[in-house]
Amino acid sequence: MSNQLSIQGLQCERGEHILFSDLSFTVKSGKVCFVKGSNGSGKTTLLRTIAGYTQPYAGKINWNDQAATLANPSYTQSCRYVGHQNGLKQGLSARENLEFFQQLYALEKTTDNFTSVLKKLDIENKSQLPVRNLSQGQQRKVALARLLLGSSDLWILDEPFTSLDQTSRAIIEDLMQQHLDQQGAILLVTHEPLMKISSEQINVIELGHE
Amino acid sequence: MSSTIFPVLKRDLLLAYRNSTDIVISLFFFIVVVALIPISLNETESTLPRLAPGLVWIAALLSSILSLHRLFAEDHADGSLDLLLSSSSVYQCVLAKIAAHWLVTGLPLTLISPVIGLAYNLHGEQLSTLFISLLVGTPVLSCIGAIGAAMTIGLRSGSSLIALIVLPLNIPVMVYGSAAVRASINSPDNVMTYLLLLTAMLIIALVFAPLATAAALKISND
Repeated sequence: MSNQLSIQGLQCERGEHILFSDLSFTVKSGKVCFVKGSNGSGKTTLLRTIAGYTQPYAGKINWNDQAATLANPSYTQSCRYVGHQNGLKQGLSARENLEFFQQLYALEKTTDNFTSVLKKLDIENKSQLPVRNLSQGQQRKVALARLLLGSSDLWILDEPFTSLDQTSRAIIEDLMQQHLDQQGAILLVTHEPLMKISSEQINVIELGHE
Repeated sequence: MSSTIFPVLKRDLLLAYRNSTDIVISLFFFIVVVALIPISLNETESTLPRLAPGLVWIAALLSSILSLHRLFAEDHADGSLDLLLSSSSVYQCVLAKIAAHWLVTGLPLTLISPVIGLAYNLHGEQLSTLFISLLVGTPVLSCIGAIGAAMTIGLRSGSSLIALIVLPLNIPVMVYGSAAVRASINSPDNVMTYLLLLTAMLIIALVFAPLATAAALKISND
C-alpha cells in the first residue's frame, strides 16, 4: 500500500522565535526525506512536530489524508520515532526494553523476534545486560532495533548515526534501504551524507534559508 | 484496543525492584518522622493516641511527595515518555504509573501503619481504621501527586515546585483521613462517614487525575 505524509504551510516557533514558516513537502513510500539545516534551524522541532509531540503554530500535517496527530491511532501505529534520546530504561536489559515496547504497542509476536532483530544489529550477545552497561553506540542500536519490531510505514529518525561506528552505520543504512524496498518512508535528520541509498530515492529539504 | 496498563505497571515495578532504594527511602522517611515527633514533643503514653491521626497522615503525605519528582522526570529525560505518549492509551499508561507509585510508596507504609499505631498506643478498631484510611487515602495522594509531577517535568526546580502544587491539593484527603482515625478514638459511629468520603475522593481521583495528568504531560513534553 502506498502511503503519503504531506506537510502544508507548516510554521513552528520556539519561544518567540520563528524557526521556519510556510514549509510544505511530501514524504512518499519508498523515499527518504532528508532534512538539512544548520544548528538551531529547527530540524528536531520539525521532526517532533511531525511525530505529534509538539503542536505546530500553523499548518497541516496529514498522513494518508487524515490528520497526523497522537490522537490518530492509524498514524501512531504506522509511525516510529527515534529521537535524540534513546527512550531506553537504563535498569532494564536490551531485551526487556524491546519486550516493553512490543507489549506497549501490542505489536504482533513472532517466535524469535527479539533474537533476530538484535542479531541483525549485532548486539545479540549483550541482550541480557542492563542497558546502562552498554556503550553509547550499543544503546543507540537498541533504540533503533525498535524500528524493526512489528510493521511500520514511516520512520522518523533524528540523528540515527550518533555514536555509531562505520560498520554499524552501514548496517543501519542497509536496514533503511530494506525499509524503502518494502515501500516504507523515512524522514531523516543527519549531518552525515548517506552512503548506500541511491540519490533518486532521496528528497532534500533545506531549513533555515529564508 | 489492547491494554497498556500491564506493560507499564510491570516495567515500573521491575525498575523499582531493581532500584529498591526508592522503596526503602520512602518507608524509612515515614518511620523516622512518626518516631521522632513524639520524642521531640515529650508526650506521655496517655496523650499519644491524640497525636496519632494527624502525625501519621502528615508523615504519609510527606513520604508520598518525596518520590513524586521521579514519577515522570526520568521518563522525560531518557525519552521513554515519547513512547508512552504515542501509545494507544495515555490514560492507561498514566493510571499504571500512578498504581506503580502507590505500590512502591503508599502500600508499604499502609502495611506498616498498624505497627506505628501500636507504638502510639492505639488498639483494636482504631488500628484497623488507621489501616483502612491509609489504604483508601494514599492512592489519592499518588493520583493528585501525578498531576503535579506531570506539570513540572523538565523544570529545573521541579521537585520543590511539586510540593508547592501538591500539598494544598492534598489537604482534603489529609483532613478526612485523620478525622476518620480521630473518630475511631472519640466517636466510633462516625468512622464510616469519613471512610466513605475518602472512598468517594479515591473514585473521583482515579477517574479524573489520569486525564489531567495526561493533558499536563502532553503540554510539558512539548
